[in-house]
Amino acid sequence: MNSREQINDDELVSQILSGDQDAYAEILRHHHAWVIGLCRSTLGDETLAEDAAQEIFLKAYRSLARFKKNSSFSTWLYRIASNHCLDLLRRRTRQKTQSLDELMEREEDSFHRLLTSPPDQARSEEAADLVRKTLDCLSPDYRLILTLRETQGLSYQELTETLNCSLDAVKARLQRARADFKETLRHFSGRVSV
Amino acid sequence: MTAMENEPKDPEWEKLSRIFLQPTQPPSAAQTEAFVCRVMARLEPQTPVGNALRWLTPALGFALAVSMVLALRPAPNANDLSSILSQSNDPVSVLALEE
Repeated sequence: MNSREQINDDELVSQILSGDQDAYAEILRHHHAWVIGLCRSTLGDETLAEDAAQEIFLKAYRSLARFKKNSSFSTWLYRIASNHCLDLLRRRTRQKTQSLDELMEREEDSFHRLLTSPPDQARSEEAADLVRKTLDCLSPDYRLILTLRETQGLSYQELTETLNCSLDAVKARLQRARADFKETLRHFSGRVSV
Repeated sequence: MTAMENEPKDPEWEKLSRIFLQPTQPPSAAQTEAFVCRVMARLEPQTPVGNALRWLTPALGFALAVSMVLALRPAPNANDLSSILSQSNDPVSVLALEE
């Protein structure tokens, strides 16, 4: 987000806190795309993502008075969104019944095709489905940081602010998350060479 | 790219990331507007009067309830005092009765 948009968000927040509730519609328009994208990538389910996105914006609205402007509004909103998605992932992890072995048995051929064939539309949809299943096997923290870095494109600085941890912690967690992801993929095909 | 972002190249990860971790399709303008309508419909009113009422109403209600309890509670009267004291053998209370 550039500085002009940041100034705009700060002005909108001031208007909302002064009683102009309609100004929140502009906040929604500014940030809907990346919030719903984060929810889709993290949760892997369209209905869950839509519900989560709504809850995130409602939480942000109720907490607006606590936005201190010492960070950008988008970073503050990223923090709310990440915490909400993490809570949902943790609840879902407790309910998860599918084992990695079961997933491997069913999807080994699909992974091999994806890694060795040229990309096309059908492959993209197949990849999306397999990504979701692979990410399901990761811990919630690893899944979140991979989503924030790889699909949302957050910088290390933004990751430290969003996750409220040090740069070293961010780098270490990202490294472990990538290693975990690679290891999960390798289970599908020991012959995969990239 | 800042020094912070200069992570070592990992060709294997870059390929996996390109295949498996691409951003999702962004919503259309119509989808965003529909989403905005849904969220705005769920917002609670945030007027200054509304904010004040949020704490004022329960406070007033509590004050009224306490007032009613105090008003309706029967006050102790002299007959009650006499019957209590008459049951006591304490010389002080006997003297108070005689007076």
